[in-house]
Amino acid sequence: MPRKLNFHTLLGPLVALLMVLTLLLVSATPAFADDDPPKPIPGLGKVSNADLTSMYKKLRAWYDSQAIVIRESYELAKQFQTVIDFYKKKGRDVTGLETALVRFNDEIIKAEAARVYTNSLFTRNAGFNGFFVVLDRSLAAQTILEARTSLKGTHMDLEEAVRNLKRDYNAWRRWMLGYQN
Amino acid sequence: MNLQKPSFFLALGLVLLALLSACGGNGDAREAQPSATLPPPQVRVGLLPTFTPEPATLTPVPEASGTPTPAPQVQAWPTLDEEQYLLNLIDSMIEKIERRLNNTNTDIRP
Repeated sequence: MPRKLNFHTLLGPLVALLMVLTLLLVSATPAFADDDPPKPIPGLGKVSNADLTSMYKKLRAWYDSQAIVIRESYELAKQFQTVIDFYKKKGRDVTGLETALVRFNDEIIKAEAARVYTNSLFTRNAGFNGFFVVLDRSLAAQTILEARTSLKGTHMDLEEAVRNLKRDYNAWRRWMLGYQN
Repeated sequence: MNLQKPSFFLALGLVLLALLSACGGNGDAREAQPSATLPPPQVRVGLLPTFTPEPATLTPVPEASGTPTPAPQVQAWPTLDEEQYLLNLIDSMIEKIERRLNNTNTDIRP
């Protein structure tokens, strides 16, 4: 005999469903956890989930900072080309500058390529959810370690590129001043 | 027991929700600790900077003498030629990038 559905019939299952959902939410979200003790992770030491989130955010900031450096490096290369054209028009020997610029461009492209990998790490976001909350500690740690290695490599590449360009540029200037005198 | 099924679930649900909220309350107890408040600033009224407008005084205009004073020369902004401008621009751009790279916080430890 079919029973007529009414509020009283549905109330019990609804409350039960609500309870289950609440329990799932509480257990799945570490933000609701009472404590977050630091536990050892190979390569990172003793860190809590909040520490992992903080590290991940710092890496993201580092990545953004590198984006600015690379953009400024391209602007520098463009300006360098303007200088080369200027002295070429004056009939000066700019071979040293041209060689330095080619090298600088190569190093910037190399740094950009390394950043593509870092970008893929952040896109994958392994171990974290979209709000930087740790879902899997070991995966999160792996993401952090790989991103740190990649960012450090790019950082050193950029430092070397700028250092080389500055050295070659200053050498050319000294040579040009001697040439003018 | 005369309780119907939905009423039983309702009662059970209420009890569990009450338990959950009680647990949650314990978790937030750490954040609810009152923090020490700063004492009010000890500022003496006598030390407060006060603004008293000075009475407008007319500066005496020097009397015109026989020899006319030379007109003040306008300090022109020093202009650079194109070459110097280009070289300085490269210098400043390199310096800016170096500074940004040196100031980057590469230590990610909390």
